[in-house]
Amino acid sequence: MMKLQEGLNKLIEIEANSLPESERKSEAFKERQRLDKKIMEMTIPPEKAEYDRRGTPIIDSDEEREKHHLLTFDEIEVQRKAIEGMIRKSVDRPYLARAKDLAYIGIPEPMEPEKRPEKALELLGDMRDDFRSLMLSVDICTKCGACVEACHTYLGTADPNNAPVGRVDLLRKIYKRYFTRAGRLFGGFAGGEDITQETIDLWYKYFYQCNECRRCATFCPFGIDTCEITIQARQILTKLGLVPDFIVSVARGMHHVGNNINIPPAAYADTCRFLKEEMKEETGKDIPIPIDQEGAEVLLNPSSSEFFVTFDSIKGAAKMFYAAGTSWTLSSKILEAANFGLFFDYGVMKEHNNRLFNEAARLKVKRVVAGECGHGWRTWKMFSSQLSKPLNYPVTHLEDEILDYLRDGRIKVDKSQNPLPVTIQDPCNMARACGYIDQPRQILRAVCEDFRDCWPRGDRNFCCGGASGLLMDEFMYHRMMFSKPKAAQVYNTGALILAAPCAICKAQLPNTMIYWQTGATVHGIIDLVGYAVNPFL
Amino acid sequence: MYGLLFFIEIVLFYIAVIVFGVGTVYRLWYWLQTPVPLRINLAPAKTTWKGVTGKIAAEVLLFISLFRNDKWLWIGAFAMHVSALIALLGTHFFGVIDAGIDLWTPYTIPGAKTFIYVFACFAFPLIAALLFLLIKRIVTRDVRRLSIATDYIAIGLVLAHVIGGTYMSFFTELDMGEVMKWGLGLVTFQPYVVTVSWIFPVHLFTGFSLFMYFPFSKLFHPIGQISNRWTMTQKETELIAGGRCVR
Repeated sequence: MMKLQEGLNKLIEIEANSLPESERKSEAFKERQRLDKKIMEMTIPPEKAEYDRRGTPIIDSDEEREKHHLLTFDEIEVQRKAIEGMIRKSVDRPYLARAKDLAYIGIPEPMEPEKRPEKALELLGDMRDDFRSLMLSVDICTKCGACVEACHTYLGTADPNNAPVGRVDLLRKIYKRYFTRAGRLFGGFAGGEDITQETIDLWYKYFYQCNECRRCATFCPFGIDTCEITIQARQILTKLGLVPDFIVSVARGMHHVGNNINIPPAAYADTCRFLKEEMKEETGKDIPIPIDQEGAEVLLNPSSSEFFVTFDSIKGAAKMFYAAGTSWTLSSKILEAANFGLFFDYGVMKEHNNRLFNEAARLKVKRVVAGECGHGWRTWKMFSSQLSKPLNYPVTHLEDEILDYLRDGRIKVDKSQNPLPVTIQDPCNMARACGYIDQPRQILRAVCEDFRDCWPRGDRNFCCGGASGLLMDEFMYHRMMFSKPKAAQVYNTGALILAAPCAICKAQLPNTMIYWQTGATVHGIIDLVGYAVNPFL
Repeated sequence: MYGLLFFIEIVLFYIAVIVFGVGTVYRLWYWLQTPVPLRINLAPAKTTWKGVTGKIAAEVLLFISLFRNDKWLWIGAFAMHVSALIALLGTHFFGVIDAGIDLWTPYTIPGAKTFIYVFACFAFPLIAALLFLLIKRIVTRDVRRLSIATDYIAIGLVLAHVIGGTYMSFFTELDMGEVMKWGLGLVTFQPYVVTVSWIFPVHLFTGFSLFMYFPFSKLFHPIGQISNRWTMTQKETELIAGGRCVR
């Protein structure tokens, strides 16, 4: 495995090659090198027993790697080439959605650029009256700078507008100018700035470079939450018709076939059949993956990527429910936990939420279990009751479910199925928004032989860099830069498996792990549970 | 000259009181009447009201988040706020109480003058901390870039007020009798203007400016902090069966 320092040097080399000779000596470039060193220092754990590093086993034959559920070297090479190709074509702001796509999900088409500033002001006024968090965040910042180096986007790009205070300042300047007395009287002297088309352009650029991970809120002495500003600013941009194509395509998929990545029902039904056969081969048992089964005990709401990329997750869930003897079902109307509405439009978010409500009623299930998705769980846990209506059945998370089964002895697990060192990613919305910090660790300690906690951990963990719907291919360069701290963290644990209980993490982190050459393979927590229950089926 | 002194010491006082009171109430009311449509708790959330209060108190009184994050900034900020509180309350309020007791009762508080001197000594760490924060603002690249005139105005006003106060405490002999007459005059609406000292009206001017500036600037951040923490630190209720699931 390559040392991260070497990985970082490689990055510096890539960056330097993409820049003209003159900029390589620029202050900004030096700042990036300084931050790279800072990232290294930040992720070295304190000298405590629980962070003890016992070296990394070397597994270099492909058969053995496959046996341990690691990516083979060929797979790594193919993916690395793909990532580098995407990085070469990267742009600094996501492609805009087309008007007809917006119309499909009920969003007004893009306005003419001249009319945008005026409309944006009107919308900002509405937002101010509707969201206390927006106004408080804008009003009370003292610009102490405590958040600057807490933000992984700043650590990765050294762009001052990517520091939380800088990002909010893009909006704060406009707010001060038009919505405060001082700003109206003194303008720039009181920190105000006139709104122009360029402002809107900067909003689009930088609010779509925020991962809404809330790490800044944890570090801010006042608890100012940049995520709130980003959410509100993106709502404004949406109403101006400025939404990334990727996010709209996801929302369209949801609208159209009930999942984010546009898998038609016939395709995932086929996938389920295939997975059942595979599990039959592995275990010799008929393990069902039921779809639309009325009267089941549990409605599982997984992420659709589990039927497309990370098959082990849905297999793990199927095996666990089978082992526990719980009747469960999927719904063809909503095969998706991830609620992209949170990232650009409250209307879409609400519709998605209502869909799950209606499905649970239609299938007459006893409870809904949310699958591995960070922001989807945040929307469910924190927002449902205000967004839709109070629930008349319990909704739990898959992690709660696993812990319950383990506690009651309904499933047995064999640690030796997961002998490799495992570390954990705390998805931002799981840890910082929902407080799921101990649960995943309890599970991993139960199902893995060598669990190594990462540093910083829990609510201070770094974001994967793809959160808030920034998983677009054209954004690959920024995604990789944003996930620099995450890679350093994983590298410093020496783990070969990174357990990430979130679909977005599972989509983003494999790229990160390959690009930064940490040598780790990404799995969901439920994957590892699935491997561990295997011998007892 | 008398006119100017009259304006600063009498008129400005009433203006400052009104602006401060009305501004504070208005701004707080405006914040609190704005809805919080979605729960935006920041984990780890507390489960009891005791826990919630404790968390907010730790943030407000000890700046616990800042302590975990940036030790140098915490040292500067904590030293600044604590010494400001001691110097402010110690010199002004204790001074007034002491002078009042001297004036109206046959008793005196033993060693009161020494106490006031001790309190006033906190102005030195206060000035040091303010300068440290100012220098930190100028030196840190991104903070400097984002700082605007009002950031420097706020810190400059506080510095001017503290330096004036320090000068008054240590380098002049202020006649407390005169000050008491001025104070009584304000309360009883029979204006009395102190003309014997030049530093006294200067100190008053910076003080009243701070009072008037408070509700409309970032100086309002302590109240904003409580409001924001209150919004973000709600009790973790059984919204939808979190934790152990129901069978």
